[in-house]
Amino acid sequence: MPTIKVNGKEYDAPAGKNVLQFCLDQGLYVPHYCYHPALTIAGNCRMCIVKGSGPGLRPGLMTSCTLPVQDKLEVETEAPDVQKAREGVLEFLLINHPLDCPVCDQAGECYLQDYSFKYGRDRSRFVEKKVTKHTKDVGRNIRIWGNRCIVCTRCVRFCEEVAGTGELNVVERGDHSIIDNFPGLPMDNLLSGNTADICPVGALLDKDFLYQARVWYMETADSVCPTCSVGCNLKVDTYQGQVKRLRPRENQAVNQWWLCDIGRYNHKFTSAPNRLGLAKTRGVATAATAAIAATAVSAPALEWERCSLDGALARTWETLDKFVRAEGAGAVAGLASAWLSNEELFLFRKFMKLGIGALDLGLVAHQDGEAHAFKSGFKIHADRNPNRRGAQELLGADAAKDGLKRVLDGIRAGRIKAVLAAGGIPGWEPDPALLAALRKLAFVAVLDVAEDAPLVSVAHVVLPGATWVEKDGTFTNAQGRVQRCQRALPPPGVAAPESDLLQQLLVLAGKREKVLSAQGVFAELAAEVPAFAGLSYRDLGGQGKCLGAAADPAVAAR
Amino acid sequence: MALEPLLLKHRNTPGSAALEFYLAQGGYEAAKKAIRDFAPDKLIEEVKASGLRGRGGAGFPCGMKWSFVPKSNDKPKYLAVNADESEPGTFKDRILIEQLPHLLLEGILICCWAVQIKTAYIYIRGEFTEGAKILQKAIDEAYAKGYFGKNALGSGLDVDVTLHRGAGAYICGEETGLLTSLEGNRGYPKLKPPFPATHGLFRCPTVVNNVETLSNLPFIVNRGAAWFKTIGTEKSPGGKLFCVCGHVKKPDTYEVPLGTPFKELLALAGGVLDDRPLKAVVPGGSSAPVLTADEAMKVNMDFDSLAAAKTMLGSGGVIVMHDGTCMVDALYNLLRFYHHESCGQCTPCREGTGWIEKILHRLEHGQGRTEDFSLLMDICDNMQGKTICVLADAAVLPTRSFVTKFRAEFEYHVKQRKCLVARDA
Repeated sequence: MPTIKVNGKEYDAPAGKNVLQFCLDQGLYVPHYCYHPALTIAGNCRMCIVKGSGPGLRPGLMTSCTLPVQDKLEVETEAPDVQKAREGVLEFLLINHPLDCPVCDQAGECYLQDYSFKYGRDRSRFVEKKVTKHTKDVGRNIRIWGNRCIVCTRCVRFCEEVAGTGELNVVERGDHSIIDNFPGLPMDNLLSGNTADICPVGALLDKDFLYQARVWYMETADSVCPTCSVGCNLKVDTYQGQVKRLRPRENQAVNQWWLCDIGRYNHKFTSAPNRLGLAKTRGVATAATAAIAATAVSAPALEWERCSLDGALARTWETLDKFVRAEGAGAVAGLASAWLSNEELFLFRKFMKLGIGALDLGLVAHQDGEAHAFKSGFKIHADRNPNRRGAQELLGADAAKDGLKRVLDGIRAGRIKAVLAAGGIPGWEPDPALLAALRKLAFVAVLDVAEDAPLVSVAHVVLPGATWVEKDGTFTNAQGRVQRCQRALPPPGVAAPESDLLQQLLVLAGKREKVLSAQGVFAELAAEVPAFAGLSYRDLGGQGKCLGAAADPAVAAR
Repeated sequence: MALEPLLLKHRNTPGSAALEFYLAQGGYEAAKKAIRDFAPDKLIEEVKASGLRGRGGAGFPCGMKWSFVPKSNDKPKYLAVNADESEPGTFKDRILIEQLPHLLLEGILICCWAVQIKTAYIYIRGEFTEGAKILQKAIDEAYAKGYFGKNALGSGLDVDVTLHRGAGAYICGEETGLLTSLEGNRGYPKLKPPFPATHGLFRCPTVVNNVETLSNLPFIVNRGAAWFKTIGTEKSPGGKLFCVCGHVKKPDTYEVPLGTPFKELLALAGGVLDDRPLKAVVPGGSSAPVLTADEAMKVNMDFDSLAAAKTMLGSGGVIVMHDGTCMVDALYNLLRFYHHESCGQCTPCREGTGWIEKILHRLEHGQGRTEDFSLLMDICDNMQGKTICVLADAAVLPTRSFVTKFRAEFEYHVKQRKCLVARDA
């Protein structure tokens, strides 16, 4: 391995790797704009300039992104002439920049601002008129402020190399150079939102987040995207109790640096006016006190009554229990959604089997979407559920595959009289036959997140649950990677994570003494479910671990 | 200095562009001789021995450039002929193309034989509509005779030549900008290394040669490297086309041996216009640092003498300025060009060229400040050597040399808010 010297210190460095990336890997920060590890080297911003010398190299200033590691290379990243060159580049970048930070969304996470602190002047030597350029929508989601653009071409290279769609290019020349989409070809590819993420300045901005919040007021939680079974790692940015923005979080084994637009903008339901914040019941008292089969009334015909969460939980348990006593355990079935976390699926099964003794469990899932694949290999799966794989492990492969059909058959045959359904699925359009069947039941209890959710329309008891940003938990993606999502917000009203609600039902059933945190439930799960053996929150870290990782080193390496 | 005119021999002969005319002059005999008498390696050695240096601007030894192309390679090899002549003050390739297009084509054949290249592209400046027509006609004639195409000239090598017209960007005369443009992309210069010899057009080994360089080859093949070395100086052999323009009585392209004193070149062009005193000379196209009259009258026109005088031979565009020239205005004019032509890829050039132009505009229009001089020099520092290609340097070199050598005139503009010279005189 070649030995190189950086700032007088020797390192073993992999041959061929560029010096900029090597320095960044070592924690030696070298400022840069155009370089991005996912994209081809452009070498155009000239900010990553360093002083280099070595065999076959004319000593002097050179850009570190274009300088490959080779034996006996010596690099200085902070020499006075290096500093001077960087100051020069920064000054050039700012002479035609509008300096409109107070109204720019990028402020607070802008490379121009950051480097200005280190390399900037307190006043400009440029006294002439600035060049002005266009502000326009280059796509459905993205608008460009040409005046702020530094023409690093990250976005151009992204569209060309990652999305493979090539809508953007530089037009005009010299200091009039500006990014634009080709006429008649707006940047509407499904990865377009990433261009705003990789734009190092405030040129490309996401219209969805535009003027929504100053970034320094926001709070951030690490999470995972629930919109398909890829499970892209992301950051959830919230402000004043609302999700303002989802951003990709790097995970080379899953989503590299990216997030698709379908997932990126699928967070509005978390703060929609239809969110369930209160528990409610209808007709349950009748059902619970009378001879059940004779007096059962279809839910939609009844009026809602507000109810405390504890009351709703108690009524749910008592009613299900009564059905079991009157009709046998086979009269109660469970439906879990592929949007529940691993912990919740585990608890759901536990409650249904241990608390109720139910025979039939079924899986409900969001209808399939369109699958997409991009030039870089990035994929969007047709399976629009975050945790189908986890459900297969935790409900049982058979329940996940045929359980729903058995429950439907049971209802139609009149054997199943009551159902507990858990896990809201935003945007779900269920099979009308399922709703028709549930509508006939004497008792349906639902854990959901929206007032107008399909299952709520057929429910007798509604327990308000949490969306994925409001709870801690783990999802298992299609490749079997178990990944954590962390709570970014409290749920509305008295709503609570389904894992809490299910544990309270277990407590009511006398099968549990107290409600554990998601981490505690996961430890229990890992001890009981072989596929999860050996995993813990600590092991999962920020990047997740594949099922079976503890047993198989080959899997662990994935 | 006496020189048998070679490249410009038929400068004023009507019909010199036709194939019959060229054949009557012994045309394509050199290419035949090269194929008959020289194995490719031997031909490269012969061109190396001639000491022929590139006539496009950088003066890189031609044979050496060819020898960098890998011999065995799975990839195709290309020749890109740089006919994108756009350096201000330069108009030599245009004359060669319009007067003797077959000389260039023969040079292309010789180069293709030496480097065993099957595909040549001529990248011609978009504005050369007449030249493009003439060259295309010549290419068609040569194809009809079997000089190009399958088994070109009976060599056993298939050589195709394609004329490609540029769209009018100075940067596409920079060799890698030319290649990017030829590939169908925006004409941005490429990162070097790797160099075109190994990773050029479509990332394949590529020779990029100037029109004048290639046009010298038939003479070298016909008469031998030793003959070529008898012309010019030891390190700059051969003749050279100089485009003398500006304040001279007979602005034109002149062919003289390299090493000819500027004084003689000026005399050839009839001396300074109106017999006024000489003030300044840009000796090698607008990118070369300016020489004062004293410096110019002492200098010889070859690569090394001009380098010793801290300027360069460049493209051979000699811009002569008499005492009625306002140097502030002249430099402002130059920088307007570089600002307009900066491709905008690298930050220092994209922003720096425009900034310098704006400062010069202020100076020229009586709004200069004393601190502008140090500012200009600092901007030059921040641009020079800090970009992918040398366009930034090409803007910096004149700026530095004009401001340094004619400082008094610039200061007059700041203090008096007007020109030192009476320009209407």
